[in-house]
Amino acid sequence: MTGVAITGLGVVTCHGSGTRALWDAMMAAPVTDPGPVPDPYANMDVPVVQGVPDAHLPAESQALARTSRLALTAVDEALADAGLPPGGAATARSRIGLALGTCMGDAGLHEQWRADGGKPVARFTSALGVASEIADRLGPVSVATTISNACAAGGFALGAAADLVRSGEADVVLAVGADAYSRVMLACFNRMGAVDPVRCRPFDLHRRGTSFGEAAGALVVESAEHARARGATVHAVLEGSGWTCDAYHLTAPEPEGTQIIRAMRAALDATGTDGDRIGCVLPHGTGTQLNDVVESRALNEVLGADVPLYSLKALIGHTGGAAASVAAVAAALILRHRTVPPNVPIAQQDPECRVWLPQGLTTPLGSDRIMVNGYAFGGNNVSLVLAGAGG
Amino acid sequence: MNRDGTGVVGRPPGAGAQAGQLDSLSATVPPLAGPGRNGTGARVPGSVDRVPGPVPSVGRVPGRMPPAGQVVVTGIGVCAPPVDRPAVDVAWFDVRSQLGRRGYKYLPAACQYLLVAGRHALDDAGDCLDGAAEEQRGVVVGTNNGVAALHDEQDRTVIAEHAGELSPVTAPFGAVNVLTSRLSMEHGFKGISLTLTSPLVAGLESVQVGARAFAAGRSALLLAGAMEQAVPAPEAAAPEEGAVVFVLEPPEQAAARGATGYGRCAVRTLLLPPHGLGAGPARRRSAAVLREAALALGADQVPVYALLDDSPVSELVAGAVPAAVGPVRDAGPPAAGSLTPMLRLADRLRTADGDSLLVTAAGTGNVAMVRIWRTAGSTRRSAGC
Repeated sequence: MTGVAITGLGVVTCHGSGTRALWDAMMAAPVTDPGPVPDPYANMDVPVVQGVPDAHLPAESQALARTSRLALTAVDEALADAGLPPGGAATARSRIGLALGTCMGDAGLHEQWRADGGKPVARFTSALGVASEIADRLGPVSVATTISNACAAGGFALGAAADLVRSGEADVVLAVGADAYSRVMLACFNRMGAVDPVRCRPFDLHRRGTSFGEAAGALVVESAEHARARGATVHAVLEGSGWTCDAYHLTAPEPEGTQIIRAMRAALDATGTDGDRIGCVLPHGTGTQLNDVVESRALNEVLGADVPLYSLKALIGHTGGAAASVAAVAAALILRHRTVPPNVPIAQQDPECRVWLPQGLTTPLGSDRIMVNGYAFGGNNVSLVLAGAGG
Repeated sequence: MNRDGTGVVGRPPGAGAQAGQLDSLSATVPPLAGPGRNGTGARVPGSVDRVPGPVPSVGRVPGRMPPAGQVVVTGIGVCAPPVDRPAVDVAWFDVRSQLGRRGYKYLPAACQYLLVAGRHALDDAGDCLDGAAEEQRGVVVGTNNGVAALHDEQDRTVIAEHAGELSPVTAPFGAVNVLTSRLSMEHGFKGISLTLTSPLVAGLESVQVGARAFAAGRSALLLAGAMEQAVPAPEAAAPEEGAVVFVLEPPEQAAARGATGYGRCAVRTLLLPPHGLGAGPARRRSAAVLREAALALGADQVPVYALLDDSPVSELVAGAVPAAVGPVRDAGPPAAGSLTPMLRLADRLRTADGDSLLVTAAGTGNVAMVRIWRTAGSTRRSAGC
């Protein structure tokens, strides 16, 4: 086996907490409309989000800010899944690393201050302290990074986590992506006319922008040797990640997709195989007009048009910095079941997006590798390749 | 849809496990037989591995990637107010004279500072671009409050009025990484572009991430830095304003073009449980991790400079980091963001007695240590604004 072993998975989305809830939702493929945000100050045209109901979050975490709460929900599941309970002997023996991806962090803290009409009572704290809450759970972390590359943050965090393992800087790394509803971010997207009033409809001819969701995804990664030494179960392997930047525009993708193609190829190169070995793609696919077209063309260029896509955002909304983390968790589940779930139905596929979106029925996973893409404002691109535990 | 995007595909024969067939499909890796693995873990090249790590480790993954080591700082650009001017007084900076008359006015201030510092750093580094293709040139920037003031302004507009009243030119900057990407755009750097936001240490972390990017083959030349804008509640936190950018190169690459730069750096970041540092195992383990990291960076060989606040985390750091070469020297208190530690690092790199270890910590649990090996005899002075 080459690559970095994924030994723990955790996730929370609008469909509930846990990998079972996510997989069940993926298989059921319900059309889920976003709901109004519970925020009386959300003065904007489309104040909706696919939020995580409080009932899906542990009551004991109620005092935490929302993104931290989501993150810890996923972290707890991933650690338990990996056999690394906080405070346990195996955890204490390992050098633990943390790679967190979040766009807005606990921006809700600051937004609450402002809604309450004032400013912080005592000390101003950064909204980006989610990692501290995780450290309180983990104990001392030997190496830590927080990456805020907007909607691709979770993908970069997972790639960075693998690098920390590959370099020997940590034995076990927790890769987390998390983002909750942010009034500022939703307002900015409203101002840019980039929120679809219906729902998140990637690759649909009638899509009108994206639609946000709340989520967190967590993955425990370690070397195969370390996993073997402690008898851990390997769910999947992260074989490669490619990172590029368009250096083209603040918000729009470079129309030729040159750098997202390069990110895909870099991730593939790391696997030592070619595009024929990719059995499924979880695209970035946000529902914004140009992004879906550019990504489709890039996929055609790198992988052809015969690879089934699983369009996760149609199910859970665009979950910002969590998106690629949750997609990686979903990819690991698809590898586990060797099945591509049916996509959430769309009304009419955009003929400019010549990609294969199986709908209505499951599709067998033809090859044991899955590509996950994550793109962000500023032209920050990341592609990941996950393989089955057999390598 | 079918593969041409024009119709519905039926389920292929034999397709699809059902939702009930779940966990049994994962592979289990059997335990290794025989003795455990070597426990040395990662080590900074050039340092002496004096104390084994506090916990066993299987060490580096064989053949995959060298540990993140040292980087050479071949250019420094600083854009920050004079030390005698308060950070909240923005009169020190004129965007037109610093950046030009068109295309910069509506950028968030932190982004303007970053662009200026980036220009200065590249000018300072000389012909550094010759050895790296544009796909190998990257940007890594740390920030905590680069858009905090903008978010404050935007949010108050939404609360009091409507999102439709937001400025369309600033709406894209709701995501802080767009500021970093603007620096990538400015110079056509198409390698990595990362925005780091760990409280206090994100700037120093950019140097560490840069070293790792070199080791992983993701970049051959990097702009690494920190940018901040004064927080909207200056009475609740010491505000910072400005940016610092370093040009980083791998040592062998810098040597190949005859560049010695200001010196070399190696950074460690740690994260301690901020609310778990009582007198229990977490405190002991935290102290051990701190000590191991400090010794691996040579804390017992060079003077130690510290930027510490009044938190329990800083108190632990002050007690755990060994300082064999004289007492720990106070490098001033940290402020609200990631800029001050980078300004201190720039100072150390430009100071004749710069060989040292710089340590900083905050109540959030974030800790960073940077070892500085200053280039002997360097008399370079970087540009500022």
